[in-house]
Amino acid sequence: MISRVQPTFSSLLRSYPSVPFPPALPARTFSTTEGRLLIRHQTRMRVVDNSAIGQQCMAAGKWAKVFHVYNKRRVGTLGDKVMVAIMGQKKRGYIVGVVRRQMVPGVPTVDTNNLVLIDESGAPLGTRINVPIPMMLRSKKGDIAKILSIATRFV
Amino acid sequence: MALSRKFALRMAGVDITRITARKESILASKAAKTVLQKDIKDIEKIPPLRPGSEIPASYKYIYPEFLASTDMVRRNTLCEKLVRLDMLKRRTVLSIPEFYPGSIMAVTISDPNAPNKLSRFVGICICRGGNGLNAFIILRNVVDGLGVEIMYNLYNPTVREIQVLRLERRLDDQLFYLRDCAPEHSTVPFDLDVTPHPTGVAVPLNETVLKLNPHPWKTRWELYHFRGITFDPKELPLGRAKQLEKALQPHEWVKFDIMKKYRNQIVLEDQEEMFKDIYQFNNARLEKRRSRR
Amino acid sequence: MSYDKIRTLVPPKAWKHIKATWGTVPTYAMRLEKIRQMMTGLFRYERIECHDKYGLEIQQYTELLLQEAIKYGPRHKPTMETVDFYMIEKDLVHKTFKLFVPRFARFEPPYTKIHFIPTQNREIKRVLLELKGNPFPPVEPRPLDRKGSLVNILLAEAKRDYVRQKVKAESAKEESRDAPVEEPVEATQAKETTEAIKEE
Repeated sequence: MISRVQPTFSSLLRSYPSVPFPPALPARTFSTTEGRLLIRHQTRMRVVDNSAIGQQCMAAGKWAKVFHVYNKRRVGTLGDKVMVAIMGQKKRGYIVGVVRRQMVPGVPTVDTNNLVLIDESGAPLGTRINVPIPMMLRSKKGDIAKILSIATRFV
Repeated sequence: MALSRKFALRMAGVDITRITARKESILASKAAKTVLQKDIKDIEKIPPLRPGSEIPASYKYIYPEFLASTDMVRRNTLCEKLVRLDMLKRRTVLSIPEFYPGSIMAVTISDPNAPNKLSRFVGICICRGGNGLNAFIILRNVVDGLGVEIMYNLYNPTVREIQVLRLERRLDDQLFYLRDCAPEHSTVPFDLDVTPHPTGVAVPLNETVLKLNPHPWKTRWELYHFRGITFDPKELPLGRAKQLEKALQPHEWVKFDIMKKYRNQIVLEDQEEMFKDIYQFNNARLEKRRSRR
Repeated sequence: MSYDKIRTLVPPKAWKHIKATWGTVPTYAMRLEKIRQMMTGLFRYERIECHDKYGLEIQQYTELLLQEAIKYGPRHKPTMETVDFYMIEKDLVHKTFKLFVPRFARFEPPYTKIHFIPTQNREIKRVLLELKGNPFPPVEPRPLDRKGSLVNILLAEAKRDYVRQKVKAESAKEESRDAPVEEPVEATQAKETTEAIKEE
């Protein structure tokens, strides 16, 4: 019933012995990935409060380097506590601005990963935060509420 | 682990696939020129979507969220119909005005964390996307020296008001490159007054071409066909200038790939079907207003 | 160019499957090259056998190409260029415009048909893709005319008989209804006579 006279694809290929190969892009393509923009070990963050050590490190151009995230996943987002290395010292801080796009409507993404330093009791080292902070941090419970009192502007 | 380029860019907030797919859209196509760049005071004079249809061609640009996604695997006509009806229901309560990427907008949402339970944000619309109830916009503004971008879903019930402070268009569909431009181009004062746009007048095209900051950039802007930016290829890092030429040229055979074009578009027949609901809705509203007078 | 809707029953998941390689690396150009070769074969032989994914994808390309060729014709430069691109053997360009376009202008779309072929291995699906109106005998058997078989003749006649009887019964009913007055008198007269006979 089904005639086998009609050729299959492989036989067609054989009937074109010299196919002029098409103009092709080189096989090796360049990478354009930006990375996942997550805050984790080795991430550099910008200190946003007016604490002395924060101002020093930003003026020197040596941003704070995260080496621990107080989190099961070890990946930080808005409102997570991190341990950073600044000017040869260890300090803790809260993440207050993130570059990775937040898929939740109303939560802002900012141009730099922002950090506010705290001491061991959880109180902020600086007296003011000059940069806008996401409103959603107000709903977070815990030590982070102490930082929000020094914030000037919420977005 | 190497991430796919598209995924990484999407996470960064850059929807690059849409740029290349809609290269022939708003700004280049003849249809857009006749629809958006002319002062058309009579609604009847707007050209139709398709010869012989009642729906005007401007609907493609004013209500793009009513079109379904081009990804055929996600298409479901019944679901789309129900979603459209839901969108119209929302539009009876909230007025979603006409706007384009590049317009300055203000969005007020009900936020339990805000002092008056309302929070208002003003900014330039750098991106508009999504299909159906997922329609979203991203507004960008520089607040206290920090660039802030916020995404809003147009049909989210927590959105209380969407205001267009200044209606205008730009040379590109997406303005993500503002991240790597001088901050004054993204700054919008929060107390900006509404500049009303008279009906029938063409949407003004803002033809500013911006200079990008010196390297490093957040994304490789040179690889895409942005008309709103300039850069000197000599300033690019080593090796990238070579790749630039090849990257900007599409493959010689792309123009023959008929299914690729078909896959990336929604056929005019289906477009008409999708715009029918909003067209009837608008007509019903007009008639109500006329009958009131 | 804006395209008309493709009217095939191709499921959306089959829309993009061909991945041809240049050596070991899949490239866009090789993909188009493979599609070209298969379409050239299809247009020459009008019926080809292949893997199901390839067949379904080639079906879409041929539908669109034929649609375009019918709509715009050979005088339209972009259409001529695309047909020229897809037909590696250039005599098929003539065949498309001189044979297929007038043939398919009579048909309504879809212009192609897919038949799934049985295979030994259940996971491998082979497919027969053909253009409608091809000169070969049909893949599926033509439906036979079975009205001449003895059983069907008898059944037909029995059906006619049944219908005839029904018609007769209904006409008899109508006649009895048409003559209402006479019947009761006759009935009573008949009754009286029967009663008289009984008494006797």
